[in-house]
Amino acid sequence: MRFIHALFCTGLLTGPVISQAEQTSIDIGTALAGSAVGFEQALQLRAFEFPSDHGPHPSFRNEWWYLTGQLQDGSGRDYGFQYTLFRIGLTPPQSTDEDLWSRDTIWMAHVALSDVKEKKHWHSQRLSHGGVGSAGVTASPFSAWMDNWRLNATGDSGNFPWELHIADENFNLRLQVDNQKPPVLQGDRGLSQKGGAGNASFYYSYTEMQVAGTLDGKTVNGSAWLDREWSTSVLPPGVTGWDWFSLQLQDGRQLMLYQLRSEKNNAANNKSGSLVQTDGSSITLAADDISLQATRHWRSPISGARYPTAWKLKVKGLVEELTVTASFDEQELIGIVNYWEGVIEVESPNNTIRGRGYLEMTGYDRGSE
Amino acid sequence: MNKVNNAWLINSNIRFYRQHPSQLLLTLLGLALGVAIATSVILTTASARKAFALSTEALYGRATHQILGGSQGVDAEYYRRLRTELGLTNSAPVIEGLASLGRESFTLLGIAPLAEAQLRPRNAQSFAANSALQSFVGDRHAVALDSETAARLGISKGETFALLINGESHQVTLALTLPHSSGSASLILTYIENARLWLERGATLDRIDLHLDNKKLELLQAWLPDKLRLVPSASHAQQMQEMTKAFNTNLTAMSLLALLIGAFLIHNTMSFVVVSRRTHYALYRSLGVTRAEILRSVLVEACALALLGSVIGAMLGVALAGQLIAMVTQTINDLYFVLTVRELHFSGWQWLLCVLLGTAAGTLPAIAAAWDAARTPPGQLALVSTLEQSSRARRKGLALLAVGMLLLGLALLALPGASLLPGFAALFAVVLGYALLVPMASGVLLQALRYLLVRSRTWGPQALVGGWRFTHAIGAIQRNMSRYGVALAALCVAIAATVGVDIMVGSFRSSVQNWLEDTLRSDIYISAPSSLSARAEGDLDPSLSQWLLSHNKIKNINTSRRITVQSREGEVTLMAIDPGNDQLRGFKPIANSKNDNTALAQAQAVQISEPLARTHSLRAGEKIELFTDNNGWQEFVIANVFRDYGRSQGMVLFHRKLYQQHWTDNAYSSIGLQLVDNADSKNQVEIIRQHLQEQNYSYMLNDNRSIREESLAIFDRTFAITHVLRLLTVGVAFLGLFSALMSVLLEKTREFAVFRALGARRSEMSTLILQQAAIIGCIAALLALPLGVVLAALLIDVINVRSFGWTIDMQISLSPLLFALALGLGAALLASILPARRLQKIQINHAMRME
Repeated sequence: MRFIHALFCTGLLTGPVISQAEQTSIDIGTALAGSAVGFEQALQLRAFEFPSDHGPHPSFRNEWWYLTGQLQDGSGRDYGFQYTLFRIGLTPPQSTDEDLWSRDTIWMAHVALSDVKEKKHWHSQRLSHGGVGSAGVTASPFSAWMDNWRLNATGDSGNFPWELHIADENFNLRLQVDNQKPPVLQGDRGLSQKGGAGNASFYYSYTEMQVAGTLDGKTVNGSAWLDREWSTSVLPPGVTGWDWFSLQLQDGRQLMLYQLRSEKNNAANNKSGSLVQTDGSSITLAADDISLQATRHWRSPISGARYPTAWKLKVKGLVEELTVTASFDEQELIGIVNYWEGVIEVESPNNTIRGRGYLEMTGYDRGSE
Repeated sequence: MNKVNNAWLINSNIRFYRQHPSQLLLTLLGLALGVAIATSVILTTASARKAFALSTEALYGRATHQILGGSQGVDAEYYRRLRTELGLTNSAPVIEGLASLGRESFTLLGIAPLAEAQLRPRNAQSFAANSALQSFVGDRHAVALDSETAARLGISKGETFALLINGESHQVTLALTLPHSSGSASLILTYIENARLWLERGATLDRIDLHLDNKKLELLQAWLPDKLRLVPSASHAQQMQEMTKAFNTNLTAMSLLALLIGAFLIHNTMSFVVVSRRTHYALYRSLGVTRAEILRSVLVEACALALLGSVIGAMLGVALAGQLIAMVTQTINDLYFVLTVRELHFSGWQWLLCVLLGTAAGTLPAIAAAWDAARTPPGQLALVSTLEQSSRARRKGLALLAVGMLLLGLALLALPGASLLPGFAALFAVVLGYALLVPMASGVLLQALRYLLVRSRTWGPQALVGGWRFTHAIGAIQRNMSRYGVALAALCVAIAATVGVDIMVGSFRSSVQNWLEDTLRSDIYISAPSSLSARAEGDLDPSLSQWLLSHNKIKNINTSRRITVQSREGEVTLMAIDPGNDQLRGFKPIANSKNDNTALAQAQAVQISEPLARTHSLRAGEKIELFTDNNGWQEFVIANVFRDYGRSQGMVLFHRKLYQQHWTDNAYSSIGLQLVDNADSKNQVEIIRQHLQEQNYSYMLNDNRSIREESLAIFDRTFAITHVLRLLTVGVAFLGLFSALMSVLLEKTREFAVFRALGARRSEMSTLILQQAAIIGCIAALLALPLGVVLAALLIDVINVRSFGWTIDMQISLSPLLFALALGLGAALLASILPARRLQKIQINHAMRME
C-alpha cells in the first residue's frame, strides 16, 4: 500500500511539479491514467514463489520495490533511508517486442536520507524509459536498478543477502540487506483488497531485515522493511490519500497499518493492517481493529500541505495505546506528487512498548492548491 | 536674440523646402533607400543568426557537451554505462537525421522524453502539457511538430502523413504539437526507437547530450573510451555559426555601400541648399546671426532630414528584410544546414541602431556644407562662383585625404593575418579614396575632352557632336563641379560596385565550372540520400556494385565514402575514394601546391581542400591529425592541397585503402560510373534507373551533366541576393544624379532663360541637359571601370579568400564593362528626362527676374 496509488487517483495528479532542483518534471501521472485494458488484475489468490516473485510481473500494470529503514552510526547518530523503484506499464508487453528502447514501460525511482540529529532530509527522483538497460528489474539474479542506484542480490539467484548501493549527489550509501523473518503475505494470503471487485493488489513484506554497511564511508547498522506490491487497478473511486505505517517494535514484533481517506470530509473509510509476531506469524487487522487519530500537524513551507506528524493509535492485540511521532517534521518529498515519508518513533505511555518505523502520508497538498 | 535667430533660420528652411519639394523628396527617398538596404540586410542577418541560435537551443538545449563516436556513431551500450556506472543522469540519447515533408527539409530528432527534462525542458514541458507521453512513446508512427509548422502544412493532431527518410516513405501520425518557437520550426521529434528504425541505426546513437559540471566532466574524461569523443556543445554551434559568418559579413558590407551612396546624396542636397540660400545667410550674418548659429542650423537641418529619411528607410528596410529573408534562408539551406526562418527576429534596439546609422551617415557629409554656410561673409552678394572657388580651394585638401585613404587601404591589406574585417575596411578605404578623387579626375577628363573638341572644330567630329552646345555642356559641368562632383562620385561608386561584383561572380562561376569539370570525372553517379547527422552519410547496398560490374557498358566504377570526422581544428568532411581499376588521381592541386599525387594513389598520404589548408595554415608535406575509429588520434601526411568550392568547412581526401586501415566502415555513399566510349549516358541512366526501381532502391541517380547544372543553379541562387542589392545600390546612385541635375537646373534657371532670350530653341535647351547627363554618365562609367576591376580583385583575392578560403581565377570579360557604360549612360539619361522637360517650360521673363 504505497505511494504509487497516488498517481492513479486522478485527483492527486497535479501536473508538473517543481522537483528538488528545478522545474523539470514530466506529467507522468496523466500518462499513467492510461488504459488498464490488456493487463491482468489481482482477482484471486495466487501461490507466491520466492525468490522468483522478487522479480517483475509485467502482465500487471504497476509494481514497486520499496525499501525503508533506520540506521545508526558508531557515535549513535540516527538516520532513515528510503529506496523505491516503480515500474509503470504503459501497454501490456508484447511477445514480439524487439525494441531497443522500451515502449511499454517507464521507471521511476526515489531515494531519501533523513539525518535525525541535524533534522536534514535529502531526496531525489529519477525517471527513465529503461532503454538499453539503464533501469529495470531482473529476477535471477535479482536486481532492481535505476542508473547508479541499485538493489541487488549478491549471489546468482534472488536469495538474500542483498546489497543496496545508492550513489547520489548528496550521499553514498552501501548496505548489506538480510532478512530475519519469512515474508509476510499481506491481506488475504497476499491478496490485498482495497475496494470492490478488481481493486486489489498482490502484496508481501519483509518486516524485519538487518542492514549493515557504510554511509559516506562511516560504518552504519540498522534494520529495514521491504514492501513488494503489484496490481493493475487498486483504489476505489473517491479515495484522496492515505496514511501508512510500518513500525518495528523493540520486542521483536512489527506492525503495518494503513487507512484510505475519501473525499467526504477527508474521512478514513478503509483501514487495514497486520501484526507480525516474533516467530514470524502474522495476524491480519480489520478496520474495526484499528483506531487512528492525528494529534499534531506540520505545514510544509514548500508544498503548503498540512501533514499530521504525530498520531495516537490503538490496535487490537496491543494492550496499550501507542504514540507515533515524526523524528522530525521536515521529511517531505517534492516531485511528481508531493508526499511525506519519513522516520518515526513509537512509544506507549509507560514505555512498555518502544520502536521505530516509517510513515507515509499522501494527498495532503490538495487543499492548499 | 538667440531665439529670434533660430526662428528665422527654421522658418527660412521650411520655406525653402516648400519651394523645392522635389529636392526634398529626392533626398529623402535616396537616403531612405540607402538606409532601407542597410537595415534590411542587418535585420535579415540578425534574424538568421537568431533563428540559428533558437534552432541550436531546440537541438542541443542546455547540453554543455556531446559524446560523439566514429563513423558508426555511439554504441547505445555506452549510454547505459554512463548512467549506471557514472550516474550521469543529466544525459540524453539522440538519434538525428534528415526527413522531407513535401518539398521541405526537416531535422528528425529521435529522443527519449524522460531523459529530456534536464536538457531540453521545453520538450519535456510539451509532453506534460499535452499528456502525450504515452502515445508519443507507444505509437510506432508518432511524431511531434512545431504548432505553427503543423498549421502551415495543414496537419492536425491525429492526422497521418508521409515523411521521406533516407529515400523511403514512412507514414507518421502527428501525436502532439510543440508550442511555437522559431527554433523548432524545422524539427520533427519522434521517440528514439522510431528514429532508430527509420534511420536504420542498429544499436547505435548519433550522440549523447550531456549537462556537466566540472566535477562530472573530470569524471567522464577519465572514463571516456578511445572510441568516443567528448565535444563541448558550443564548438559545434560555433562551427556552424562560423560557416555563415563570412556570408553575413559580405552581405552587410554590400549594404553599407548602399548607405554610403545614400550619404553622398545628403551631402549633395545640403550643398545645394547652402548654395541656394547664400544670400539669406549673408543677410542673416549682417543682421547679427553668428557663424556658430548658422553652422548649427545647417547641421540641425541635415540631421533632421537624415533622421526623417532614416526612419522612413528603416521602416522600408523591415519590409524589404521580409523579402530578403527567404533568399538568405535558401542560401543557408543550399550551402550549410537546415534552417527555417519564416519571421524576422530583431529587437527594437537593432532597428534603432539602423536609424542612428542612417542619421549619422546623413549628417556627417553635411559638415562641409554647413562650414561653407557659416563662412558666408555678412552682406556679400552671394554668387555661386564663390562656392565654386571654395570648392576648388578645398580640392587640395580632398586630394590629400584621398591619397591618405588609398594608403590606408593598402596598409590594411598588408596587415598580417587573414581576418575579414580589415579586408572590408581596406575595401571601403579604397572606394572612399577613389570616390574623393572622382571630381578631380572628372575635371581632368572634361578638360581633355574640351581640348579635343576645340582642336577638332576644324574637322569632322564637330558636326557630329553638335557644335557649341557640346562644348557648352562640358563647360557647364566644369563650372558646376561642386554639384555634379558628388553625384558623379556616387554614380561612379555604384557602377564600380556593379562591375566589381559582376567580374567577381563571373570569375567565380567559371572557376566553379572548371572545378566541376575536373571533379566530376565519371559519367553517371549513384548516391545514397545524405543525412544531416554528424556521422556517415547514407549507405548504398554493396550488391549494387556487383550488378553494375556485370553491366557491359561500364568501363570502370569507383566508389566514394563521405563521413564527418573530428580533426584537432574541428569537424571536417572525409572522403575516401576507391578508384576501381583506375589509379586514384586525386583532385587538381592549387597552383602553388605540389602537383604530385603518387603518395595519394599509393594510399600513403591524403589531399586536403583549400579552405581547410587556409583556415588552419596547413601545407603540403605537413600532417593533419584526425580521430579514427580504430586508432584514436592519428596523423596523416598531406600530399597537396586541392581546390574545393563544394564546402567551406574543409575536406580531406583519402584512398579507400588508407581509410580502411583506420576506420571500421565498409559502406560507401556514392558510386561513379565510367561508360565505355560509345555508350549513350542518357540510355544508361534509364537502364540503371529501371534496375534501381526493380530492386526498390531509393538512391539518387544523376548523369554528369545534370549534377553540373544543379550545382550551377545553386551557385546562381546564392548570388541572387547580391544582384538584388546591387540593383538597389544603383537605384540610390540614380536618385543622386537625378537630384543633382534637378538642383543644377533650379540654380541655373536664370542662365538658361538668358540662353533662351538669346535665341536658343526649347529643344536645344533640353538637348543641353541631356548632353550634360550623357557626359556625366559616360565619365562616371569610365572612371568606374578601373575602380570596378580593383574592387573585383579585392573581392576575389582578399574578401573571398578570407571568407571562404577559395582561390578564384579572375577573368575580365567585356560584358560587365559594356554593361557599366550602358548603366552609366542609361541612368544619367533617365535622370535627365524630367529636368529636361522642365527646362522646356521655362518662362523667360519670369526666370530672368531671378528668384
